Parts: sequence; C-alpha cells; structure tokens
Amino acid sequence: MELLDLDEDSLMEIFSYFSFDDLLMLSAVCGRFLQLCQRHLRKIRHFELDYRAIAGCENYEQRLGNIFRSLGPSMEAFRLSAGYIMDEKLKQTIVDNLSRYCTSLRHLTINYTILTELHLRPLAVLLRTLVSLDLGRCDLTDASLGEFLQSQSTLQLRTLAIPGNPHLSGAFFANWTNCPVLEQLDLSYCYSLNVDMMEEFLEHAKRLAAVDATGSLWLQRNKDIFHKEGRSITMGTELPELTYFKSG
Amino acid sequence: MPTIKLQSSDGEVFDTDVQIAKCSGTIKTMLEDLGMDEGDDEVVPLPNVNSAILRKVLQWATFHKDDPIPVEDDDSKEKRTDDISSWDADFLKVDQGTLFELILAANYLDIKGLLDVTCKTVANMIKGKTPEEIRKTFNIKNDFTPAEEEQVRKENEWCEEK
Repeated sequence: MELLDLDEDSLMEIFSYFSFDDLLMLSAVCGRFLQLCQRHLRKIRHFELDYRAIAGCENYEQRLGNIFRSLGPSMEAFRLSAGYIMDEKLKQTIVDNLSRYCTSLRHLTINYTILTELHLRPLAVLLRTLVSLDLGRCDLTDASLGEFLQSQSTLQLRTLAIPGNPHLSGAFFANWTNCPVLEQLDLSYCYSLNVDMMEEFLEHAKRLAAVDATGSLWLQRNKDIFHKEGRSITMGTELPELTYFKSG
Repeated sequence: MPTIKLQSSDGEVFDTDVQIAKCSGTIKTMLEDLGMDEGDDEVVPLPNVNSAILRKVLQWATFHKDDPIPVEDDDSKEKRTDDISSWDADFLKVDQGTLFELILAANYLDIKGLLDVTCKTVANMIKGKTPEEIRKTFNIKNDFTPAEEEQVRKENEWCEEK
C-alpha cells in the first residue's frame, strides 16, 4: 500500500499538520498533492504575512497575487508584520491585493510601517466589512485617518486600535460621526492627542464603552468627558486576540 | 473483566477487554446500538481490518486505555507534530504499508488518538523534504507536464533560497 492509496479523509488529516509554507512547497510534488494543498489553503481564515519572508524574492508580485487570489475571498483576519524601512512597491502590492481580494475581511492588523493616504485610500473599501482594525504605529496623520474613516457612510467597526501614532492631535475626531457600533478605542501612546477633541464624537459613538488613552498628555485635565451625563467609559481596552497561520 | 470477541477480515477472533475495545468509537456505537451485551458470545465482525493490523491496534489501545478522551482540534491553529510520546514513536517504527493500514484502521474504527499519532508520523516523514525527495520516499510519480511544473513552482515557491 502506498501513501496515495489512502482515502481523501486520511490524506486531508495528514495534510492538516502542514504549515502554510509546507503547503506551498508540497504543491509541487504531483497533481494529487497540489489538489490536497489547495483544499487546505482554502481553509485558512486567519493569515499573517511577514514582509521579511517575501522581501528580496524575485517574483514576489506574482506570488503575492497567487496567495491573495486563493486565500483572500475567504480570509477573515489578516495581519501584516511590516517594517518602518520597507520597500514601497512591496507595501503597495500588499495593500492593493488586500483591497482587491479580501472582500469579507473582518479583522485587519497592520503595525510598524508608515501608512499614508496612498495606502489608506485603497484600503478604505475594506471598512465595509471590518469589525476590528489595528493600525498601531503607522505614522497616521489626522488628515489621512479622518478621510479614511469617513470614506464609508456607516462603519461596522467595534474595535479601533491606533496606538503609538504620535502625530495625531485628535482633529480626526471632529467630523467622525459614522461609528454607531464602536465599542473600544485604543489611543494609547498617541502623545500629542488632545482628548478634548473627542467631545462631539462621543455623542455619536453611543456604544463606546472602553478607551485606552495611556500616555495622552491631556488625560488628567480632560478625563471628565468620559463620564459626562451619567455615562461611564472604562479606561483601558481588551482587544480581540486571534491566532494566525504565518508565512515565513 | 468482561470481554468481547472481535473478528478480523481474515477470520481471526480476538478476545478483547470491553473497555479496550471501546477505545474504538465504531465498536462502542455498535455495542450500544445493537444492544450487544457484555458476556454475550456474539462476535463483532470487522471486515475492513486484517488480523496483523487489528493486533497492532489492540496493542496500542491496551497501552492507551487510561488516556483522557482527546479534545477536538482547533482548525484555526497550526497543529504540532513534535509531541509524539517515545512509546508511540517506537510502536510506529514499522514499514510504510503498515503505517498507512493503521491510519485506515484508526479512521474506520474511529480511534482519534491513534489516528492523530499515525498522521503526525507520516507528516513528519514528509516535512523538511524537497518535492523530489518526497516522490522518492513515497514512490510518487511526478504527473505534471514541464509547463505545469514551472507554473506551480513559480506561484508557490515562497523564496528560492529557502
């Protein structure tokens, strides 16, 4: 008896022990392996991409395109481990693939890289389905973030985490009214953020129940705004934790 | 201790502790559904398992009879393959054919612990090998045309130097 004489269920069980990278490599063995790998790849719902695993690869555009084409439509959570010093074309390729293929994404995490209008504009389409978004340490500005958040008529977002964005003053709060279901907001280590700017926003974010404003210079003076009119907003957030299939 | 009789596909009958036989979800259900009582002299036929494999399965089940019931897998996580006990590793030092037959038997008899450890063992035989080494190890024919192979390689190879 040979390996490929096993039934589909048994082979699927064996292939369930392979990592993402294993599955890509094993696709090259034969037609049957390719088909089994593709079945498993389609089951991956949470995917983390480490840019270091692709930086320097010759055909990265084609490879990324293939990954996102096959995983994107069923992907629920995506996390990019990026870098401050990162190839711009690679970053743009990832952003474009994300917005093109991940049409039902619910959780998006991009940390430690510079995101400008050029990246946020294509990503805005994802706001139609996202329930949690983490753009920690992405050098966001009030203008780029404000435009991004207001690009859709209503947001499904329940959690927004933008910690460690030191240029944010809080001006982006001014016209931000489309967040009826937002529950948690992580603003920690946004050192220039003036909590005062949130006053009007808080009237729209009726479900907001937790804010982390650790490190905000203005917190001591203004924290009364979180307890206005009998409302009680907890200081500190509990962000959802997911496990991911990783590349690299 | 109560026993039941299990009959392999080639007709051999194994007198087996009921508790050990019930490691198998299939046998457990059969006993319950058919109302077969312990002590009955009835024989449970297992037409998909030969005597050599059934002997191995019962040896495994005897050693593992006091194991806790394995938990359902969480599909969202990567599964470990480096947690095979040394007893199991020794037990599974068998030829490929036997290993695959054990997988089929574990699947048919619904013995999750045995299925897990046999599949892990095969996964470990595959991991870390190049496609060519895998074909050699498992006697697999490369049925891609050169063009298809080039396409798959291009699309799926994450990084040349890895």
